[in-house]
Amino acid sequence: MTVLRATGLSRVYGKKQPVTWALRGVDLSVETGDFIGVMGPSGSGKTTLLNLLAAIDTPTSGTVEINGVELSKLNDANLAVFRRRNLGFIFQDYNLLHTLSIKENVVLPLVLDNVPPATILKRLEEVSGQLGISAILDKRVFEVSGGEQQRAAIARAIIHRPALILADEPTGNLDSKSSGAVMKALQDLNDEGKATILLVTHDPFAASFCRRILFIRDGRIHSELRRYGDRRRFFQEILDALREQGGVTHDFSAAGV
Amino acid sequence: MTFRRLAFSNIKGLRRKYAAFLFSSVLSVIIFYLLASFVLHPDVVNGYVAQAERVRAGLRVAQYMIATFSFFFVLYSSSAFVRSRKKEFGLLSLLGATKRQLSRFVVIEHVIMGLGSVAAGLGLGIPLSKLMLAGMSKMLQVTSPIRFMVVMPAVIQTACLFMALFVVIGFITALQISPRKVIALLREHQRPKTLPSYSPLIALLSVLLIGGGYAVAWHVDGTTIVSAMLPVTFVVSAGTFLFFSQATVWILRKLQGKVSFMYRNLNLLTVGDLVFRMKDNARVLAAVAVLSACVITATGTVYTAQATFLRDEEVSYPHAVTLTISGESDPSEVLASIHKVASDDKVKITEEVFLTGLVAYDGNDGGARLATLIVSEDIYNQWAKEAGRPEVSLEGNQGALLVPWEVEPGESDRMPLELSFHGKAVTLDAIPHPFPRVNWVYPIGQYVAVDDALFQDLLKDADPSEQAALISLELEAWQKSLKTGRRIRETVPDEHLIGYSSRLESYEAHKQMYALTAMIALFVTGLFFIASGSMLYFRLFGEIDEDREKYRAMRRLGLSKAEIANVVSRQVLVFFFAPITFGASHCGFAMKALSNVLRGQDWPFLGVFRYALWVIAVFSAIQVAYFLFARRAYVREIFEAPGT
Repeated sequence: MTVLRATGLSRVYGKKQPVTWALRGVDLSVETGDFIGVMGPSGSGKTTLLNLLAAIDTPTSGTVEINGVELSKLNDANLAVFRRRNLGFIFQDYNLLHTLSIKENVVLPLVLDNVPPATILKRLEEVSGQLGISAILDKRVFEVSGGEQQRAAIARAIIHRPALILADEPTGNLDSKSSGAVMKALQDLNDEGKATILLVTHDPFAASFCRRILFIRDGRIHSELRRYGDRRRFFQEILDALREQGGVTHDFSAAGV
Repeated sequence: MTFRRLAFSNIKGLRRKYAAFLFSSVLSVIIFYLLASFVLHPDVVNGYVAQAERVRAGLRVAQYMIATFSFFFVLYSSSAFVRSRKKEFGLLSLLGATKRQLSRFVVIEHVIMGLGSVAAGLGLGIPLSKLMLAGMSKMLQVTSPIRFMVVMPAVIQTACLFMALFVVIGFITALQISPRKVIALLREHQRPKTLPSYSPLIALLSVLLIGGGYAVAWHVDGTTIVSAMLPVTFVVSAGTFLFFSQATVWILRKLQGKVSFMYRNLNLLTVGDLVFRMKDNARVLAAVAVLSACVITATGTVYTAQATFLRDEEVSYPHAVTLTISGESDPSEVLASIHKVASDDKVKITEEVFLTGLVAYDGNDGGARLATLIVSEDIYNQWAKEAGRPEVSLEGNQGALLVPWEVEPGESDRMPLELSFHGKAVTLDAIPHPFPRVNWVYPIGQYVAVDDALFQDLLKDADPSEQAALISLELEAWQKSLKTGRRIRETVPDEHLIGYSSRLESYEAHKQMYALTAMIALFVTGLFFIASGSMLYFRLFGEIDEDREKYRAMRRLGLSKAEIANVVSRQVLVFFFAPITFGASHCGFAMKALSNVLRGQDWPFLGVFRYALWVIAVFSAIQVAYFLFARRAYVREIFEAPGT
């Protein structure tokens, strides 16, 4: 089943000539159970793409459909509701609210949707077990490590069982060990059929956890790579592909493969 | 590029942040100028103000208060402003700016801001003082007691004070940024917030302090209030400070523990944020609460005092108009024309006394020439019958001395009354008889009814000039009947008018006299509320950058703009109305104490509280306006940044 379908997405910044083309006609579709990585050098348009898919930004032309609903047809209030029911977000800087505890952060999407407290607590138990954050639920955000914060953010992204999880450089602020744990958690969720994930990253190590990689360059989808074997081999393939494209990949030495 | 140029272009570059700072400074300048232009106004300095000495002393205190308030206000705005730019300063020192350079930079910046604020503040303050005078005259229904003018001494005072203030604050602020702590400057905005702590014991203590203060205020009387006032004020203020810093956190944390409440709609977000916001701003909120309690109470007291004076007016002048006219004018004709005046002006006469008689003097009187009006039994009874009053029945040399109090039946307080009329001694055996209280009109000081035969005997020798009539009236809505009163007086030619006394004239004169005092009270209170509202406003905006980040994260999680605006509104609501609610409650108990003191003079609690309520209502309205404005501006500011 197709969860997301983007057709002819373009985004232009600036009104005066010459304008900046961040995206030039991107077509993309995500099926249930996919785990897609979008890679590209800085300025290639990958963050713009993610913002458009999340309806945080509006495309200059083209459409985005999620679960058959065209996002541009929704008004602000409906869009917000649609977003919080159907999408889960994971950010590079976690975006946990510092005024709330870890637990409160995790349950937020359900609370916003007026789910009964009993159901909320049941789901909380479920996801915190999956992500190994049960012990830190009552802590404040600044009391836990970056990796734990990101796992809490993942818990928040999946607690309402969204159709699609969008992740923006989820390992960008993490050391290699925490990166591994976070990516493993995402992979497990995907393997258990609990999450369809689209991930934007420039980290080949993080990308190697995906099933499919889209390379984006100058606002266009440039090539695609599918994973057929184990992760380590896929990681090598990604590095090769990046080298072929002339992308600078100094990151791998730090990736601790 | 010189350093001064850098400071200048920096101001241009950071327009928005500077605008907020400039706005708050301009506001303080305006407020100070308005007050100074009042205090130093020639009409106030030389003119007649009720209780001039005390009022001027009070004004001076208010001026110090506003000056101090301005100092802290500008200092606060400045430090909030600099805090929001710590990163910039960190960057500058990283690039090699010395501490000296940074300090100079900050001081120069403050001088420029000072010049701008003073110029803009005076430019706005002067026309505003005109508006203010007009508005207040209208509210108090008096002609403005002072003229509009540009008060030069006030302009000079304001300009000097604020320039000095900005320089001093510039130096203080410069001291706060030390390049040694570059890393602290750079990381200022990422500092984690620890969860506010509280002590249930102190929270409980705060409730006890406030409650105890209230209990004492409820029970004080005229003798204990003097010794109780200061301690109670202190205890309640301390309680308020502790309440805002401890009990609010306690309540909110308890609320956070209630899953059924928190896991509903936006409560999770609202309460979560509010805990921090209340704790961070506890001192400001408590200060505003205590100050507004003081100001509301003071203003309420001024208006109660005015109401007391108004009621005293009715004691000094029992009737709206009283006149005595010489027998040379026909009294019945005069009365008829008075009735015509009243009906022309649509003024209803609620009580009327009309007696005609002879003017006699005390028998042995040589100097003061106080007169007595002798009325015949027939004439008196004729009036008494119409007015529904007890009639008299007299014989021989009996006289009924008409007294303004109730006489117990059977009471016979006989006394001899020796008068002289037309050179003839008249000795009466007088007993008191109840009669309405009328205004005292010189020279006739008492009224006595005598047997008809005796009266006729005296009348046959009398000149018209020795005859007189008393007309005394109470009017409905007398406060507004000044013109009718004057026309009533004109019904009698001046040369035939023996005496005239009018509550209307006295009331008008007093009202004008008190107008300035009332105006000052209104003015100082108004300024205070504008200042405190602005303080809250800027406090709210102090952390907008962090807030913007937070709300952006919420947007991404799928909160609509409307929902975020809702969360914000609820927080801002608490922020603006918690202090004034406390202020009003404190004031209520202070007014209860005042009513206890005034109880001897028949002031019911509500009677006293009414004036405070009026003040509270007006300033709640101001606060509502401020709230709506602040909320709108805040919400707009949050959504301003791109990508939200």
